[in-house]
Amino acid sequence: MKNYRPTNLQELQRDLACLTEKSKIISGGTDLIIRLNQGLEPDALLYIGSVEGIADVYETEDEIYVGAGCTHTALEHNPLLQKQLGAICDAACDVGSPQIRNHGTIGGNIANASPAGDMLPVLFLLEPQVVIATVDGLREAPINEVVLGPAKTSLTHQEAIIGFKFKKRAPSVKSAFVKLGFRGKVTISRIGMAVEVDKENDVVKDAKVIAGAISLTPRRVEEAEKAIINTSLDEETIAKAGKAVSDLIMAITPEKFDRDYKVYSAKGVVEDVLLKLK
Amino acid sequence: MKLVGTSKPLHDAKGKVSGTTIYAGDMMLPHMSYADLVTSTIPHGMVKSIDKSEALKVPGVIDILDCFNTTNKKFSRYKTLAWQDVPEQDCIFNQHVRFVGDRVALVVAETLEAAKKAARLVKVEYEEYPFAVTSQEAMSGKIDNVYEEGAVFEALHCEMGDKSKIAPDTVKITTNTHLSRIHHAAMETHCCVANYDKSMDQLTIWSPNQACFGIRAVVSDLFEMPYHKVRVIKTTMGGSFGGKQEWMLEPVTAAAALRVKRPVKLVFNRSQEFTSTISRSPMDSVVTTQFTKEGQLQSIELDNTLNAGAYLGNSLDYCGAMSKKMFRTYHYPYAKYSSRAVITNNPVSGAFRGWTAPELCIMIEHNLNMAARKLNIDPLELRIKNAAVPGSLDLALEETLDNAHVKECLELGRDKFDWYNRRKANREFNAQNKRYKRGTAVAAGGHLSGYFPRIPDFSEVGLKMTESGSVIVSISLHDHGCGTVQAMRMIVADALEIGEDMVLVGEADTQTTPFDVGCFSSRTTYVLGKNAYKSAVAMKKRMKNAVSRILNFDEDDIEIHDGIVTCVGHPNFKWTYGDVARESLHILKEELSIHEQYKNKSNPAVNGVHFAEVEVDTYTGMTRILNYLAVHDIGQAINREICIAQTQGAVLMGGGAAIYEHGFVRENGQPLTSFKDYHLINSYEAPNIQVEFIEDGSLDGPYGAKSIGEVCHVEPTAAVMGAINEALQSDFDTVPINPDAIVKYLASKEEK
Amino acid sequence: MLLTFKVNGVTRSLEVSPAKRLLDILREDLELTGTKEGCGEGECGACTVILNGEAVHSCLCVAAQLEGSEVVTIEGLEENGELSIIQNAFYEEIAVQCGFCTTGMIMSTKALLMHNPHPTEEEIRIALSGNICRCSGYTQIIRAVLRSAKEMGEQ
Repeated sequence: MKNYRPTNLQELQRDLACLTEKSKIISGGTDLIIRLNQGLEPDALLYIGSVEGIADVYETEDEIYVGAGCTHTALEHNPLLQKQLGAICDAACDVGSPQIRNHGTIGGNIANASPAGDMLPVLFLLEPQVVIATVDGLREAPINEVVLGPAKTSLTHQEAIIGFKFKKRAPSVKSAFVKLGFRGKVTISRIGMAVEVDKENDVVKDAKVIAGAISLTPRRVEEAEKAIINTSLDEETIAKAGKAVSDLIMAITPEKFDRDYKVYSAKGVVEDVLLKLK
Repeated sequence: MKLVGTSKPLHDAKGKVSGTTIYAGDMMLPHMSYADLVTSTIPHGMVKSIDKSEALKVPGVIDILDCFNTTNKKFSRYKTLAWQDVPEQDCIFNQHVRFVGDRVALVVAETLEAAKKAARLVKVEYEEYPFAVTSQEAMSGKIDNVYEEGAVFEALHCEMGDKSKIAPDTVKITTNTHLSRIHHAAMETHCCVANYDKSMDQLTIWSPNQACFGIRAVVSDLFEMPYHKVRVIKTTMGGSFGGKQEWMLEPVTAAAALRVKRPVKLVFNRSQEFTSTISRSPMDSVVTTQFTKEGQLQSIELDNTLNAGAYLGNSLDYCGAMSKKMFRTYHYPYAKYSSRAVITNNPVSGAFRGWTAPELCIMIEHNLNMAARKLNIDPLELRIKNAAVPGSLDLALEETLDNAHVKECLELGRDKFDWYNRRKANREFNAQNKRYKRGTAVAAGGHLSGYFPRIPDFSEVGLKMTESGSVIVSISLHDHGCGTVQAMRMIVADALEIGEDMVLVGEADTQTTPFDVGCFSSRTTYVLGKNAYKSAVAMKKRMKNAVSRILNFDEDDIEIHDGIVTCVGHPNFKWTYGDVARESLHILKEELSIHEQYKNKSNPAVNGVHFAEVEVDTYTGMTRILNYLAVHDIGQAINREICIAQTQGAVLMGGGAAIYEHGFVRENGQPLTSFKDYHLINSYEAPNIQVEFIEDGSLDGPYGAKSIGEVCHVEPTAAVMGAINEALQSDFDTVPINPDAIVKYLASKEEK
Repeated sequence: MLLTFKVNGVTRSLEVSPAKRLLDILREDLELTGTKEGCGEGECGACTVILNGEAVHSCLCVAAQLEGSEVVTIEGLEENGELSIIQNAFYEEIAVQCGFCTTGMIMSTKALLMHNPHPTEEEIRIALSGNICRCSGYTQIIRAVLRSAKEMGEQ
């Protein structure tokens, strides 16, 4: 098995060019290594974690850049993200176990593209441009053109996600994420609700609501957005938003993916996430 | 008692915190080879052919054993006594495969990596048969070809007590209870190292297990070797909970060692642990009780269908055992029991902590909770009314329950848990709260402290004193990691009045320690501990005898206390224990060594009463255990904090079975294989668990001890289940009551 | 690949497959068997070690990621041949039964106290949520962590 450990962008591009369709790019590896242990035998492993800047978080005038190699723990504690992109921190602090958060990365979570991946609904909410290293340069694509379906991305076998560019938000904008799992902590997500609101004097002026783990990719819940705009997230509004998510699940989630459970319990996770933004 | 009743670290705790303690999976022997198992990928069928050609090409592969080149003599994974008459259905490798995970072949290689790689390359061709995932499917005749006798094995049917004593004019309550499969989930997976020394014709097996002499009997018979040529040594055990008392690995690893004539190590990964060891059987039961209107229990009729999985293993005895535990907690005149074990194409069912007592408790306690509603009697009072009292007769075992304290446990718990006020507060909370609902329930249970009277319950201990005055105890212990070695040290040290660091206690080794039937039925402290105590007392007597002969003292004048030997009338005489040992060797030409035999003849009541308060999120179906109290009639705690910790661990285990743990098998016959699907209560959700002990001695236990390790697991599932039913005013009769079940119930309620 | 990294302060150079798990490198190549395998998928925590200052599941790290890294295992905690404060606290607080979760639990504890010297009980419960103990109810373990925090604070 070949082994590549690029330390900068040029080396990364050089090494990407050597990869075949049987090669694997590894970041934290917390999903990939399980498959390696079960018999997956790539012809090469390219470790992306040594690339300079891969785990940087910084702001420019109107963007926030998050390196794909940021661990969930690093994201959880990042003050810039806590202020501007709270949903990222909410999701990061609850991915798997503490040990997984210390080693797993946002880039890996996205590239793995599991329908239950905690970062997916958050990124579909915050709509970053995904920065992708290719053999001869960089390309950028919106998140929904990168994550296409379960374990399916638009990346070729010679491309690697190296970062995410988020537009900066106004101070009146807040986002949050809550997941409903099988138990309180250390669990796969059954429903992941990511919500961003722009509030003026406690009233929601604009909203975006994304539900994860209910379909092949995260889904926008327009009816829930309509329900909460021009409200101050009172009890009745929250119930309406919950129903909107339930209705969507009823419509699109296959029965065998615990549809009936999710239809009913959506109101719980919706209430929890909206109360965070109240 | 200086040590007994206090809290001491386990004898090997220092090694464990250092990472130096060796478990079987850590063993490294010269020329050791590594094995990996090939298991069936289909739930039912016949192996037509095995193509090993690709696998054999992997560098480092030494040999591949399979159903065509290994003995197909049958054995029982459950057998522990040479004279036991049990169904023998297991084979080292099966040509007729009966579940996904059934053993088909074993690769032995120089490295584990090579063994795993080769195992994946072994190509097995199957002829597929129809398969049954549930007991109901199997009982419909779908898999009658699974065994000659078919799939349904009627088990014990019996009546106990006196039907004529049932009061007239009773209220009948019938409940149906369904238990899902649960897994032991010990942190250490099953593992085994075996070596065959060709020059000595000696097979040695190392494994974490609960009965070395049982393994010896099964393996010796299987390979037709005399028993002294098969040596079985118990290794440090990383938890068992009943899972390591059946022999899934030892016969296989032994076969490999005999084939390659080198040490072979086989360690199950977690996936194999879930599929190819044993787990607690799913059960479907019908319980009908009869009460007077005042709530006096008159009879219990219980019918139980046990899903045995693919092999009978212990299932027939497991069915029988449940009937034997029906009179350990409550006092009533009559019981009727009927049962059957049904073969399905599921992972094999087997022993689990409590050996049907927890399952029985779930069934009975649920019925009692429903009875309390119907009779309009407080559930706690209903139990107090019917609690066994001191001197009660266990109508199943026909032995006295002696100092049964279940009533005191109920009353102590009622006060400590503030039963009435807490339930009142729950009702008030629920009236004001839309989303969250709280409930409090109680569950009472009982178990045993030994095998008596059903199975020979005896022990032999060897005790010898060194010239340092320290003692070496030869005793066949099978410590699960729950501290029985440490408990023996404390008992012997106190009885001999020396420090625990002067007592060396080993574990079972068929070559060097005396025969023992094994660690079952919570007999270790009550029976082996008693014998260890007796040995220490006998050693003191031996010492007196030795001194009297060495110095011509009157034996009755000699006194032994706190490491010192003196003699009335000889004020200048003062010997240490070491002096006695040395002079005995030197002058008498005798080692201070005794062998003590003990036959247990009692099995007093050992009870627990558990109180659980839960909160259910009616939006998501998630349940949290808020508060918990376990009250146990323990007789005498030997190592106090360990007894508390064991109880708390059992609460999480039983609580997990109530709300999360579900060892499912999918419709296509594929069992779950991962902790990602099998959820335990982790540190984040573990409640604070209060533990109270009533210590009022026992008939025959050392220092009055009874038992704790299994009885603490009898009640928790029933308590949490009852609390959920209180919170939601529901009547869930199927565990786990997981979020999906709660949501399904609430959704259907909303529809009405 | 040739992997050069530090284990318990000692530099090691090993020829291993890039996909070899850190857990196996420790247990097989370095014969440090104190780190245990409980599940192989990051669900039980028995394999926890400290990698570059963070607690990680060693079953979910491979050689390809480890070049130049620093790993601390249970074997690296002793100080001058004496049990470290955390090890001693687990010992004294009767937080050790079957012991199979113990080394992972201690490493998670060490990592916690490195980052948060005075954790609350809730913070401890979260920090240990990736370490399963099937024997206990975590009560003695949490006591051991609190005791460790106190004693390390006094040092």
